[in-house]
Amino acid sequence: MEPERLDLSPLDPAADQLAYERLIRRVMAAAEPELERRRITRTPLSVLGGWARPVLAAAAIVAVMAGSVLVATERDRPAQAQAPADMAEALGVPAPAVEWLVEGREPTKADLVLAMERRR
Amino acid sequence: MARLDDVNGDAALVQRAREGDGAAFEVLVRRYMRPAYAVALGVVKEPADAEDVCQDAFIRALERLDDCDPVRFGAWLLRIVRNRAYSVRRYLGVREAAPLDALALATGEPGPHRMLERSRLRRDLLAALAGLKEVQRQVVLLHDLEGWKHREIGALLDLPEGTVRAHLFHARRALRDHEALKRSKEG
Repeated sequence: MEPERLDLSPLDPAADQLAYERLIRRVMAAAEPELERRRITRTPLSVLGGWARPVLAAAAIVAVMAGSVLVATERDRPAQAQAPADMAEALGVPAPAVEWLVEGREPTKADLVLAMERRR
Repeated sequence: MARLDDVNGDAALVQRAREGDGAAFEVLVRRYMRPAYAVALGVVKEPADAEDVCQDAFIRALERLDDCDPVRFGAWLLRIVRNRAYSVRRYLGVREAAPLDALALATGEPGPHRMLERSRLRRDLLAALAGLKEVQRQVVLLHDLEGWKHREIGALLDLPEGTVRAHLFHARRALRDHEALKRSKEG
């Protein structure tokens, strides 16, 4: 048969309420510096600050990768034709005709013969 | 009374304490002080040392709060208490235990007869507990002082429930047979 439960209440730390409260106060006083440290490190600004470093690191990695891709793309692109010097060239108007247009005159027979000679 | 499986509200309190909420931490301290004290007293035997162990353990727990699973806070804290109590006992190993009479009387202010009697009973209980094996002391304190179940004590001390029952049986019998406690009853 199991022996009866003993009355251990004289060992209860809360039996002396004043002493017990003193113990709780003592623990809380000792905890205050750590609680304060935690309060400081958990302010909204510090939380954002905590995010800043990884976000900046990630942004730097993305920038480096994007730069590499850009350089590689530029290198692989075939050389493109020179851009036309002006509108007439872009439209394919022959050079002698451009002169006549600029000078605002009709071509003479000699101009036409000369133009034919140049194209040949 | 705090229990290992009494996790209601612990997680939220732990979360708030992590953010430096002193009120939340104080609720945890009040909830677990008595079981922490019982565990510590079971190891170090001296009430004053048990109080120091509890204080150190709560501070260490607060410093490492980010490592804890909030729903298992109670078990996690009491393991810190046990480890801290073992360290303190090792540290105090060479120190002779203070005479229990002096210890008990030191806390007892001159007062009514009842207080004196209680102080004497406390002294005798401490003397009787000191004669138990450590595991018996922890089991009987958690069970008979804190009202924990065998299963909960077993979970904390890593013991099968049947072993906890056996330790409790032997501890109670040894305490009942202790000369000092017999004298207290007769006196």
